[in-house]
Parts: sequence; C-alpha cells; structure tokens
Amino acid sequence: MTVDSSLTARSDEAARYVDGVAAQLADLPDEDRADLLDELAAHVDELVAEGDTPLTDRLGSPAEYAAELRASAGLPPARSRGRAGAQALDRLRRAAGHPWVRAAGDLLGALRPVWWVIRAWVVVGLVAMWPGQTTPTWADFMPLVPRIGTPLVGLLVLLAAVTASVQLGRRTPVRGARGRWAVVALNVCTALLLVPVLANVGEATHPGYVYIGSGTTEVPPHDGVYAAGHQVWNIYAYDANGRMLHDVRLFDQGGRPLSLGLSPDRTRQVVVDAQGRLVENAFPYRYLEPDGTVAHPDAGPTVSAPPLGGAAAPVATPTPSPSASPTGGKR
Amino acid sequence: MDTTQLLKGVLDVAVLAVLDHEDGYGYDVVRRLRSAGLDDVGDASVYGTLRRLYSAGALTSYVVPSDEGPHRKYYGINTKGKATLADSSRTWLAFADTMSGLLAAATRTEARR
Repeated sequence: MTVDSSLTARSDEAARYVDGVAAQLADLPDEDRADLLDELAAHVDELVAEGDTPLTDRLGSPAEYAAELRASAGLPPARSRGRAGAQALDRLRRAAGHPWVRAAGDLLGALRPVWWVIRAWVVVGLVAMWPGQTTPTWADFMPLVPRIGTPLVGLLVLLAAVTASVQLGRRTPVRGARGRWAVVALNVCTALLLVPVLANVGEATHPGYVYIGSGTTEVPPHDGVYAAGHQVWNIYAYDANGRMLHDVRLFDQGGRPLSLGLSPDRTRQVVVDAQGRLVENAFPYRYLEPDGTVAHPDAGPTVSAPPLGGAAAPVATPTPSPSASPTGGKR
Repeated sequence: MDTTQLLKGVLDVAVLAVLDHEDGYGYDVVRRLRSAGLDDVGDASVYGTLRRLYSAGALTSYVVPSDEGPHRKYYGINTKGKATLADSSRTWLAFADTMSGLLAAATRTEARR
C-alpha cells in the first residue's frame, strides 16, 4: 500500500467520523457545535496522520463519542427531536460497517485508478472530436487512440493526460475542500461525456451506420439505385417531346455505368455492344416472353411527360454521349 | 478496578494540573494525561472537560495558526482556574490520604490472618 492511498482512505474516514458526530450534535446552538466540531476535526486529522488504528477503535463510534463529549462538557443529552434522524443515521452507519459493504467499498477504491485512466481518455477524445475536425477522430490501427492531427500526437497527448489524471487522483485527498469539489465536478462531467465519446468510437468502428438526426439508420452496403426509400427496378426515359426512349445508357457522376444492382434474371433481355460486351446500363430493361421475344417494347408505367416548352423543345434527337455507339441489342 | 469511574471524579483537577504546568491544545492534554499514567482517559472526555472548564471561566483559550495541518485551539489556566486547582488539590490529597489510611489498615488486617 502506498502512502498516498492510505492517506486517501483515512482522510475520508476522518471526514465521515466528523460528520457522524455532527449529526449527533445537531440540536446544539450553532456556535457551540461549530467550536466542538472544529476541535474534533483537528483532532481526528492528527490521529489519522499519526497511526493506522481505525478512528472507531480509538474514539468509539461517533454516537458514543458525542455522548461522552456531551456528558463531560456538561451539555444536555441529545433531545428526542433529533433522535429519529440520529438513529436512522446510526443504522446507516452500522450498515456501512457491514463486511460486504466494506468489501464493495474497498473494491471500488481499488478500481479508482481505472477511472483515472478513463476520464483522461474521455477528455482527450473530446478534443479529438471537436467540431471542425476534418480527419477521422480515431486511429485506424487502434480505434481507442484519439487522432489529434496524427495518431502519434493523439497517443502522446493521451499518455500526458493519463499521467496528469493519475497525479490528480493521487493528490486529491490532500487538497482543500474547494479543490475536492472541483474534482467531483470534473468526475461528474467526464462520466456524463463518456456516453457521447463511446458513441463516437462505436460509429467510427462501424461505418455501416450513419448518424441521421438523433437516430442511426443502416445504409445498405450493396449496389442499387433508390428513390424515396424504394429500390429502383427499371428506368424509363422520355425525350423533350414526351416520346419513350429505348436503350438509353446511363452513367453516374463518376462516369461509371449506372447499375440497378439487380440479381441475375434469365428472363431479362440481354443487351451487348458492338464488341459483344454485356451492357447493363441500357434502359429500360425489357423482359422476355417464354418464346424469347419482347412482346411490348413500348410498355411502360403510366407517366405524365408532356412535350417541354421553351428552348428544350426543338432538341428532338437525343444528344449522344461521346463514347456512345449503337448497341447490338434487340428491342 | 475500572479506573474510568474514578477518572470521572478527578478529570477536572487532572486537566487543570496539566495546564498549570504548560498551556496545551486538546490532543496535547490527552497525551500528557496518558503519559502521566491515566491510560484510560477518553479523548471525548478531555475535550468535553476543557469545554466545560472554559465555559466556567477557569481557562483562557487562543487559536494558534499552523501552516501545515489545522489551526489549534490552545487552553491556558487563569487565576480562577488556579484557585479551583488549589482547592481541588487540597480536597483530593485529603481524600487520598484518608483512602490510603483505610486501605493500609485493611492490608494489615489481611496480613495478620
């Protein structure tokens, strides 16, 4: 056990003890009580500093101490008004002394350094997540390492933050009351911010999920074209005069043939170019009858495509794309 | 015999005697009483006794600031306290004399049997 950690435990013990006695003196005038408690606080601090005997072994329970103090100081015994509260507190204190409760407390105390590391990570993670970051927030090779500019800088900042946080944790008990409250506030804030930072890591490591508003929606990872949330099975093109076009070859903004990503279908008419290569972006797709022909090449959905007015109207013939060439497909 | 019962009667005079020697703060008084042989003296009893003697006007008190650790409240004996101490000492010594005589007689009787 290090000197620091034993000091931590006993300072808490001292504060608890003084609080316990204070509860028993609640009925005294404020001035008297403050005097007695000031002296007691100084006393238990000194006791704690000089040895490792538990305070209750040395002084008795807070209730016993308070009773002895009242009797020897010539103060009236505790009035019945404060009794119910004091008894409840006493029961609570006895429960806190139960071996299981103590064991749980010891375990949490032992895990405190883990929290020191986590809170440092949360703070550095927040810096990495700061709005305006253009690079990914987390390192590729190790998603828990924040990336601040580069993963290496993030790692170094993280190590520095962990060191600072551990030092802070080790020194908290000897800080003043104000310092202690500041650390409590820091802990509460980082505990709350742990959730968004973890969510950010989860997002970064599962790129299939995209943030939309307050919920997440799975983006289909496969090919295909979607309109209004539905998959597009076929595309029908009409020229400026409202006539249906056939074998219109469509490309996306990157010059890639537009694929509807449909599964292979024997009944779909096969379209090939002059070199005999399969063309999958010639629309509309046509489907074959059992005899291998297309019964109604001009069949299409009911659409409203009246001739366009203005400048577009005279352009009656489709402008061929530079690489477009007649296809060998049948209608 | 349990000395805690005896202590209750003499703690006032014991504390006054300690402070008559030199001013001290609560824990200091506890330590001096213990090193003098009053091992069973309770911390709370000493603090309570100091409080009561101070309220009764037998002690003065002053706070000594300290750079490391808490400020300490020192107690010193005043004229009234010295008078109380002298009076209590006489009473105690007479009482102790009486008790010693009584117990010595009892011991002699015991020895003769």
